[in-house]
Amino acid sequence: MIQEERHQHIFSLPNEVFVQILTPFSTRTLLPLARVCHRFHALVLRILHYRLLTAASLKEDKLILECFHPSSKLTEPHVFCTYLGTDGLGDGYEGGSLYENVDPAECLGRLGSLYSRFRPENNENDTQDKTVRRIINLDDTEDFSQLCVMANLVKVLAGRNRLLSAITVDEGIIRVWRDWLKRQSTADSSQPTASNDPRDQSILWVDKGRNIGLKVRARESQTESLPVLVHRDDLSVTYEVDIEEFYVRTTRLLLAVEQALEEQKNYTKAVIFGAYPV
Amino acid sequence: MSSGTPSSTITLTSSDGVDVTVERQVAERSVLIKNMLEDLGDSGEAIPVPNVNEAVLKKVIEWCTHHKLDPPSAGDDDDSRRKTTDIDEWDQKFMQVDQEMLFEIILAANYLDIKALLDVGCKTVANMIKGKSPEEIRKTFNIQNDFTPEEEDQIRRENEWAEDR
Repeated sequence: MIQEERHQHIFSLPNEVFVQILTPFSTRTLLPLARVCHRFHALVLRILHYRLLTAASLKEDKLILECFHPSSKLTEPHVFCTYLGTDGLGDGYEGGSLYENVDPAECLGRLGSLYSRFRPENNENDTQDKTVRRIINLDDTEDFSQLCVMANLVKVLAGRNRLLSAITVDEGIIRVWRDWLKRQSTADSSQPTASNDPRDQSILWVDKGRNIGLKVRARESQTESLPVLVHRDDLSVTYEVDIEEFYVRTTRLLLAVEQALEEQKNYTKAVIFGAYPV
Repeated sequence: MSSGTPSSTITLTSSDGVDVTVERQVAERSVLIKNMLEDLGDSGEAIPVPNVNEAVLKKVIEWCTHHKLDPPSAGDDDDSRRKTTDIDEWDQKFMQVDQEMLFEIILAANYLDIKALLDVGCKTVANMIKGKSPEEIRKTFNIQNDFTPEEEDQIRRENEWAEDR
């Protein structure tokens, strides 16, 4: 029987058919299939690479950043983020420098090391400067201040005043230390900060897993308008912190995009649950 | 056979040289054959289908006959991730064949450009993969594990990024 010429095996199928077979699988169910054999591994890698590329650019969703001091949770508006790029992912189907000199078995892990960069932009007022800025006050007894950070994926209805479904990509609380602020503010600001290295010292990681982080520039601000009676202590200080870039682990983004799709499928009717804060 | 007017039946010749007569409407479920008939006109001569043998061709025609009145496929606008692997009941029964025939049907549908049949075939294979461990998948499809134990272990570790939540 074996020598019969037209013996067909699953591997008689061309790659494009194989890709179609594996397309309905979610990323979570697709990944374990990479362990079947080299051919499966290569196909899974190819599909995931393509999915990451699509997910990162957020064609259908918007990324919003919430970043506030715990005391101003209700007053600080969220901001929309513009996609800047995903270093290493390339822009082609096979793409990028990601797999150079990498053992095939390590390729899928490489995907997990990718970060997509976004620029948070202030659209509240129509000023030229869209930089998202937070003020951090430290009085003489404080060694650090806190920032609550949350990354949400949303669908936005036309007209931009209604958010349609939101998925939390990640959230956490950053401690911004006095020493760190001091170091950052005295660092040479003429240096371009566009080093795309996730180990960059100017990135504040929100969570232990380093899934989301803020690349910031800190500046000590002149506190000119203090009430006369307030005793200006040498140790109390105010910083302006510009959020230059928002780093999100790309695989995390992909999982969130898929989760959003899944939830959309489950609701046949659109559920509007969040209004844009005015 | 060869009359001047376009006949309502046409003849296909399988790869093993068997002539199969089929309604033109049925044969036109295949975009390849439809285009051929449009480009070359119906000469009444048998159309060779060199990649498909008689048994598979008959099976494909059975499917096309059942689906001959279906509206033409929606085209490429549904290329967004088709997550569902639901298959209609008749198609499920139709696909209850041995693996070899299943892959033959998929290859034939791919070659003949019968999108809806290819779709059903792919979903059938997807359902055979779904919910199985890598080892079970290897057994099901008779696949050799060509990873060293170290490589397999490494891949398992590298995939943990999807499991952390």
